[in-house]
Amino acid sequence: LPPSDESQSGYAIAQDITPDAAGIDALHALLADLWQRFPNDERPSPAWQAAFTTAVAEIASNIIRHSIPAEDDRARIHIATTRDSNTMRLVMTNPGRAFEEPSSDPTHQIDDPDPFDLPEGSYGLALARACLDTLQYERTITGDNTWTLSKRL
Amino acid sequence: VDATVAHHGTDIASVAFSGRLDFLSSSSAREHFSRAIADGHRKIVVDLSRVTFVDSSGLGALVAGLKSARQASGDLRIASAPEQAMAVLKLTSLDRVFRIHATVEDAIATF
Repeated sequence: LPPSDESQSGYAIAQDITPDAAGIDALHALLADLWQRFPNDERPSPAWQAAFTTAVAEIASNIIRHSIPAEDDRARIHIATTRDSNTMRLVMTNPGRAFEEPSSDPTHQIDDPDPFDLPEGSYGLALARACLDTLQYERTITGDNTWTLSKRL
Repeated sequence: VDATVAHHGTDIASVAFSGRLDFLSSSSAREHFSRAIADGHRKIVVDLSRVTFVDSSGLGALVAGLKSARQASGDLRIASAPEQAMAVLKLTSLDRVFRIHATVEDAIATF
Protein backbone atom coordinates (compact mmCIF):
# COMPACT_ATOMS: atom_id res chain seq x y z
CA LEU A 1 0.00 0.00 0.00
CA PRO A 2 1.21 3.55 -0.63
CA PRO A 3 1.98 5.55 2.54
CA SER A 4 -1.07 7.78 2.06
CA ASP A 5 -3.38 4.78 2.45
CA GLU A 6 -1.44 3.60 5.50
CA SER A 7 -1.93 7.01 7.15
CA GLN A 8 -5.71 6.91 6.72
CA SER A 9 -6.21 3.74 8.74
CA GLY A 10 -8.02 3.49 12.06
CA TYR A 11 -8.20 6.78 13.93
CA ALA A 12 -5.17 8.23 12.14
CA ILE A 13 -6.20 10.70 9.45
CA ALA A 14 -3.57 12.82 7.72
CA GLN A 15 -4.65 15.53 5.31
CA ASP A 16 -3.50 18.92 4.01
CA ILE A 17 -6.16 21.61 3.85
CA THR A 18 -6.13 24.95 2.07
CA PRO A 19 -6.37 28.08 4.23
CA ASP A 20 -9.79 29.10 2.86
CA ALA A 21 -13.49 28.20 2.81
CA ALA A 22 -12.84 24.93 0.95
CA GLY A 23 -10.26 23.97 3.57
CA ILE A 24 -12.70 24.68 6.40
CA ASP A 25 -15.33 22.53 4.64
CA ALA A 26 -12.71 19.76 4.36
CA LEU A 27 -11.81 20.12 8.05
CA HIS A 28 -15.42 19.70 9.18
CA ALA A 29 -15.79 16.71 6.80
CA LEU A 30 -12.59 15.17 8.20
CA LEU A 31 -13.95 15.35 11.75
CA ALA A 32 -17.34 13.95 10.69
CA ASP A 33 -15.45 11.03 9.10
CA LEU A 34 -13.39 10.57 12.27
CA TRP A 35 -16.47 10.11 14.49
CA GLN A 36 -17.80 7.48 12.08
CA ARG A 37 -14.63 5.43 12.64
CA PHE A 38 -15.55 4.78 16.27
CA PRO A 39 -17.53 1.67 17.13
CA ASN A 40 -21.01 2.68 18.29
CA ASP A 41 -20.29 1.88 21.94
CA GLU A 42 -17.06 3.93 21.99
CA ARG A 43 -18.13 6.95 19.94
CA PRO A 44 -17.91 10.19 21.93
CA SER A 45 -21.20 11.97 22.64
CA PRO A 46 -22.52 14.69 20.29
CA ALA A 47 -21.55 17.29 22.96
CA TRP A 48 -18.00 15.90 23.10
CA GLN A 49 -17.75 15.92 19.30
CA ALA A 50 -19.07 19.50 19.19
CA ALA A 51 -16.53 20.65 21.78
CA PHE A 52 -13.62 19.04 19.93
CA THR A 53 -14.84 20.44 16.59
CA THR A 54 -15.19 23.90 18.16
CA ALA A 55 -11.58 23.84 19.37
CA VAL A 56 -10.23 22.55 16.04
CA ALA A 57 -12.16 25.18 14.07
CA GLU A 58 -10.95 27.98 16.38
CA ILE A 59 -7.31 27.05 15.92
CA ALA A 60 -7.75 26.70 12.14
CA SER A 61 -9.43 30.12 12.05
CA ASN A 62 -6.57 31.60 14.09
CA ILE A 63 -4.00 30.14 11.68
CA ILE A 64 -5.83 31.40 8.59
CA ARG A 65 -6.48 34.90 9.97
CA HIS A 66 -3.21 35.56 11.78
CA SER A 67 -0.47 33.19 10.65
CA ILE A 68 -0.65 32.45 6.94
CA PRO A 69 -0.13 35.60 4.85
CA ALA A 70 -3.16 36.29 2.62
CA GLU A 71 -0.94 36.49 -0.47
CA ASP A 72 0.51 33.00 0.14
CA ASP A 73 -1.69 30.78 -2.00
CA ARG A 74 0.60 27.74 -1.68
CA ALA A 75 0.52 27.37 2.10
CA ARG A 76 -1.36 24.38 3.49
CA ILE A 77 -2.38 23.38 6.99
CA HIS A 78 -1.39 19.81 7.75
CA ILE A 79 -3.89 17.94 9.91
CA ALA A 80 -3.05 14.69 11.68
CA THR A 81 -5.25 12.83 14.14
CA THR A 82 -4.31 10.03 16.52
CA ARG A 83 -6.08 8.16 19.25
CA ASP A 84 -4.17 6.55 22.08
CA SER A 85 -6.17 4.66 24.69
CA ASN A 86 -8.40 7.35 26.19
CA THR A 87 -7.27 10.50 24.39
CA MET A 88 -8.07 11.95 20.99
CA ARG A 89 -5.31 14.15 19.64
CA LEU A 90 -5.20 16.42 16.59
CA VAL A 91 -2.04 18.16 15.42
CA MET A 92 -2.17 21.15 13.07
CA THR A 93 1.05 22.31 11.41
CA ASN A 94 1.47 25.33 9.17
CA PRO A 95 4.20 27.58 7.82
CA GLY A 96 3.66 31.26 8.65
CA ARG A 97 3.91 33.92 11.28
CA ALA A 98 4.47 32.85 14.88
CA PHE A 99 1.51 32.89 17.23
CA GLU A 100 1.32 35.77 19.69
CA GLU A 101 -0.73 35.29 22.84
CA PRO A 102 -3.47 37.93 23.07
CA SER A 103 -3.11 40.28 26.03
CA SER A 104 -6.48 39.50 27.58
CA ASP A 105 -9.12 36.82 27.80
CA PRO A 106 -12.45 38.59 27.22
CA THR A 107 -14.48 35.83 28.85
CA HIS A 108 -13.11 36.96 32.23
CA GLN A 109 -14.51 40.44 31.74
CA ILE A 110 -18.16 39.46 31.61
CA ASP A 111 -19.40 40.37 35.06
CA ASP A 112 -21.86 43.00 33.96
CA PRO A 113 -24.63 42.43 31.42
CA ASP A 114 -24.00 45.88 29.88
CA PRO A 115 -22.69 44.92 26.44
CA PHE A 116 -21.06 48.17 25.41
CA ASP A 117 -17.70 47.25 26.90
CA LEU A 118 -17.72 43.76 25.44
CA PRO A 119 -15.07 42.92 22.87
CA GLU A 120 -16.35 41.77 19.47
CA GLY A 121 -13.52 39.28 19.03
CA SER A 122 -10.66 37.38 20.64
CA TYR A 123 -12.90 34.81 22.32
CA GLY A 124 -11.33 32.06 20.22
CA LEU A 125 -8.35 30.90 22.21
CA ALA A 126 -10.22 30.88 25.52
CA LEU A 127 -13.00 28.94 23.83
CA ALA A 128 -10.58 26.40 22.35
CA ARG A 129 -8.92 25.88 25.75
CA ALA A 130 -12.30 25.47 27.45
CA CYS A 131 -13.23 22.73 24.97
CA LEU A 132 -10.03 20.69 25.42
CA ASP A 133 -7.95 19.10 28.13
CA THR A 134 -4.69 20.45 26.73
CA LEU A 135 -3.73 22.87 23.98
CA GLN A 136 -0.03 23.12 23.17
CA TYR A 137 1.72 25.47 20.77
CA GLU A 138 5.25 25.09 19.46
CA ARG A 139 7.28 27.15 17.02
CA THR A 140 9.79 25.00 15.17
CA ILE A 141 13.24 26.19 14.06
CA THR A 142 12.08 25.69 10.46
CA GLY A 143 9.42 28.36 10.95
CA ASP A 144 6.40 26.10 11.32
CA ASN A 145 3.67 26.45 13.92
CA THR A 146 2.51 23.26 15.55
CA TRP A 147 -0.69 23.13 17.58
CA THR A 148 -1.53 19.96 19.51
CA LEU A 149 -5.11 19.62 20.69
CA SER A 150 -5.94 16.83 23.15
CA LYS A 151 -9.17 15.76 24.74
CA ARG A 152 -9.92 12.75 26.93
CA LEU A 153 -12.52 10.41 25.50
CA VAL B 1 -24.00 31.76 5.48
CA ASP B 2 -27.48 32.20 4.03
CA ALA B 3 -29.83 34.57 5.79
CA THR B 4 -33.60 34.99 5.58
CA VAL B 5 -34.88 38.26 6.98
CA ALA B 6 -38.54 38.69 7.94
CA HIS B 7 -40.19 41.81 9.31
CA HIS B 8 -42.71 41.68 12.14
CA GLY B 9 -44.56 44.94 12.64
CA THR B 10 -42.72 48.21 12.26
CA ASP B 11 -39.53 47.68 14.26
CA ILE B 12 -38.93 43.93 14.68
CA ALA B 13 -36.89 41.81 12.26
CA SER B 14 -36.02 38.14 12.51
CA VAL B 15 -32.80 37.05 10.85
CA ALA B 16 -32.57 33.30 10.22
CA PHE B 17 -29.10 32.11 9.31
CA SER B 18 -28.37 28.67 7.91
CA GLY B 19 -25.05 26.90 7.69
CA ARG B 20 -21.96 27.88 9.67
CA LEU B 21 -21.79 31.21 11.48
CA ASP B 22 -18.02 31.44 11.60
CA PHE B 23 -15.05 33.64 10.65
CA LEU B 24 -15.89 33.17 6.98
CA SER B 25 -19.49 34.39 7.33
CA SER B 26 -19.35 36.74 10.33
CA SER B 27 -18.90 39.95 8.30
CA SER B 28 -21.97 39.07 6.22
CA ALA B 29 -23.92 38.50 9.45
CA ARG B 30 -22.80 41.91 10.76
CA GLU B 31 -24.04 43.52 7.52
CA HIS B 32 -27.46 41.90 7.92
CA PHE B 33 -27.75 43.38 11.42
CA SER B 34 -26.56 46.83 10.31
CA ARG B 35 -29.00 46.88 7.40
CA ALA B 36 -31.96 45.82 9.57
CA ILE B 37 -31.18 48.54 12.13
CA ALA B 38 -30.63 51.17 9.43
CA ASP B 39 -34.09 50.26 8.05
CA GLY B 40 -35.64 50.94 11.47
CA HIS B 41 -35.80 47.32 12.64
CA ARG B 42 -33.95 47.91 15.87
CA LYS B 43 -35.44 44.85 17.61
CA ILE B 44 -33.72 41.82 16.12
CA VAL B 45 -34.34 38.14 16.72
CA VAL B 46 -31.54 35.90 15.48
CA ASP B 47 -32.93 32.48 14.57
CA LEU B 48 -30.13 29.93 14.96
CA SER B 49 -32.26 26.82 14.36
CA ARG B 50 -30.59 26.06 11.01
CA VAL B 51 -27.07 27.07 12.06
CA THR B 52 -24.84 24.00 12.14
CA PHE B 53 -21.84 25.60 13.85
CA VAL B 54 -20.93 28.85 15.62
CA ASP B 55 -17.34 29.94 16.27
CA SER B 56 -15.88 32.88 18.19
CA SER B 57 -16.11 35.18 15.15
CA GLY B 58 -19.79 34.29 14.86
CA LEU B 59 -20.20 35.20 18.54
CA GLY B 60 -18.35 38.46 17.79
CA ALA B 61 -20.90 39.26 15.07
CA LEU B 62 -23.75 38.66 17.53
CA VAL B 63 -22.08 40.98 20.07
CA ALA B 64 -21.61 43.65 17.38
CA GLY B 65 -25.28 43.33 16.41
CA LEU B 66 -26.33 43.55 20.06
CA LYS B 67 -24.35 46.76 20.56
CA SER B 68 -25.76 48.36 17.39
CA ALA B 69 -29.32 47.40 18.33
CA ARG B 70 -28.95 48.71 21.89
CA GLN B 71 -27.44 51.94 20.57
CA ALA B 72 -30.62 52.36 18.51
CA SER B 73 -32.69 51.73 21.70
CA GLY B 74 -33.51 48.23 20.50
CA ASP B 75 -32.12 44.81 21.32
CA LEU B 76 -30.80 41.64 19.72
CA ARG B 77 -32.21 38.40 21.10
CA ILE B 78 -31.35 34.82 20.22
CA ALA B 79 -33.84 32.07 19.40
CA SER B 80 -33.63 28.30 18.82
CA ALA B 81 -29.93 27.90 19.59
CA PRO B 82 -28.80 24.33 18.84
CA GLU B 83 -26.61 22.48 21.34
CA GLN B 84 -23.24 23.59 19.93
CA ALA B 85 -24.28 27.26 19.75
CA MET B 86 -25.61 27.11 23.31
CA ALA B 87 -22.36 25.50 24.49
CA VAL B 88 -20.14 28.24 23.03
CA LEU B 89 -22.43 30.96 24.41
CA LYS B 90 -22.06 29.39 27.88
CA LEU B 91 -18.30 28.80 27.64
CA THR B 92 -17.73 32.47 26.82
CA SER B 93 -20.29 33.61 29.46
CA LEU B 94 -22.16 35.40 26.66
CA ASP B 95 -25.30 33.51 27.72
CA ARG B 96 -25.40 36.11 30.53
CA VAL B 97 -25.36 38.96 28.01
CA PHE B 98 -27.97 37.81 25.48
CA ARG B 99 -31.61 37.05 26.10
CA ILE B 100 -32.04 33.55 24.70
CA HIS B 101 -35.45 32.14 23.80
CA ALA B 102 -36.72 28.72 22.73
CA THR B 103 -38.47 29.96 19.59
CA VAL B 104 -38.60 33.03 17.35
CA GLU B 105 -42.24 33.54 18.37
CA ASP B 106 -41.26 33.54 22.07
CA ALA B 107 -38.53 36.10 21.40
CA ILE B 108 -40.86 38.37 19.41
CA ALA B 109 -43.46 38.18 22.18
CA THR B 110 -40.93 39.60 24.69
CA PHE B 111 -40.49 42.84 22.73
